[in-house]
Amino acid sequence: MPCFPLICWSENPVDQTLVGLGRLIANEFLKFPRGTNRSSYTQLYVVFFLSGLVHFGGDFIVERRMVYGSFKFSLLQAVAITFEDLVIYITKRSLRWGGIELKPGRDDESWAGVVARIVGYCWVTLWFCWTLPIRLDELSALGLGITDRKPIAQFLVDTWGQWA
Amino acid sequence: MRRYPWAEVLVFEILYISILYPTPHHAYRVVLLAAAVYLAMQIYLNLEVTDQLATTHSVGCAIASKFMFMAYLLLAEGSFPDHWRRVRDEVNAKAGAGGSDKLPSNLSSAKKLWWMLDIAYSVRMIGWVQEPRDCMPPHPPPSRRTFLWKTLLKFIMNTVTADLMISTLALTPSFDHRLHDPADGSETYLAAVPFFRRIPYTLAWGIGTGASISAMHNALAFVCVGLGQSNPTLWPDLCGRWGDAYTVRKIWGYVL
Repeated sequence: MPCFPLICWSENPVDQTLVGLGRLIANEFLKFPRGTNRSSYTQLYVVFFLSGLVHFGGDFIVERRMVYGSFKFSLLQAVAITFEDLVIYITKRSLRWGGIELKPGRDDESWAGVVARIVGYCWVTLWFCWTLPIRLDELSALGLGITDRKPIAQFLVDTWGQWA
Repeated sequence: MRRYPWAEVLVFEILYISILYPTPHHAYRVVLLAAAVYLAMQIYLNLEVTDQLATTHSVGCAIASKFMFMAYLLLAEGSFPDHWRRVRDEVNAKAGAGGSDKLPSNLSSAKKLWWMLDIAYSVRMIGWVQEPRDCMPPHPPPSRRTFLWKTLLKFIMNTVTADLMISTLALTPSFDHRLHDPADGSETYLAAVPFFRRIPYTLAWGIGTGASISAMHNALAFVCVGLGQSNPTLWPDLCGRWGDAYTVRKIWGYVL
């Protein structure tokens, strides 16, 4: 079994609940040993499935029908994490052959670390450009996306209008 | 006229809190849980959608997330209620002989009620033995005055950021159904914007939403600590650093 880096699903402080339920299903119900890829990725998909279920509750109560945008959006996040784990694993292995140790984090100021972070920011932005409409568009069509100008921005616009 | 079901939602909230009363009698919890499930179904199936769509939507999400939290507390970690202990109880327990009188099921009735209220709204488990260690933003130092000053500054910063970011989305057909024909489908909203031109919308929506929830957290922390009801160390930031948002895993695991 390949040993993927970053396989341990980090505990989102807010979603501690869902992480706990993910551990329950992976380690207690399915009996996958802790620390293995099977356990980590089962937890990952369970957490995002449950997150979709929570948002499904809100969508259902408003739409009065089964809508799956939340599930699709949530499970796509798990797929993206699986994909990026694989890419990070392959990239690290490849760079190690070239003598470059990649540890993109706050303490890594090497050129490789900086490049990795810039690539990461671009990837995350483009990922959400693709998946955000899946989550938001149905709600926007219902009227949940109404965005009137907020007071500070309105004040700035009015002030600018008086000057101009 | 459409009526918002405040009474049903309030009764559900009371049931939710009561289920977490630290008694070892499981029959008590089963009965209340059955009542909560019945009431939740009534709310989901019969709630009239009010003009306050965002409120209605948040009721649906909140009920579902409360069931998740109950499942976590009752099933996921250890036996309820004695598995769940506050750090301050733990410290006191060590000072006493054996400490078993500090287990939640052995607390006095008044303390049980406070314990019940405390755990019902401790989704982040801060101040509990079960608090996650490796991913929480750092706990603030205990100085009340410093905390209040820093929190006020953060509140102002987050409020301004949220206001400006969300205002950049104002009156755009990518989000606002008032600018669409009623027959328009959902694919005519953000998905209709060319891919690379979605970048400013995506950034504004993400940063604006993160700043909004952080501002609410700052306001709550300011009031609770300012009134002397809470310790500053129990109020670490809600969100992590945006600088860490360079993988999808990190953005969901640390930043948001």
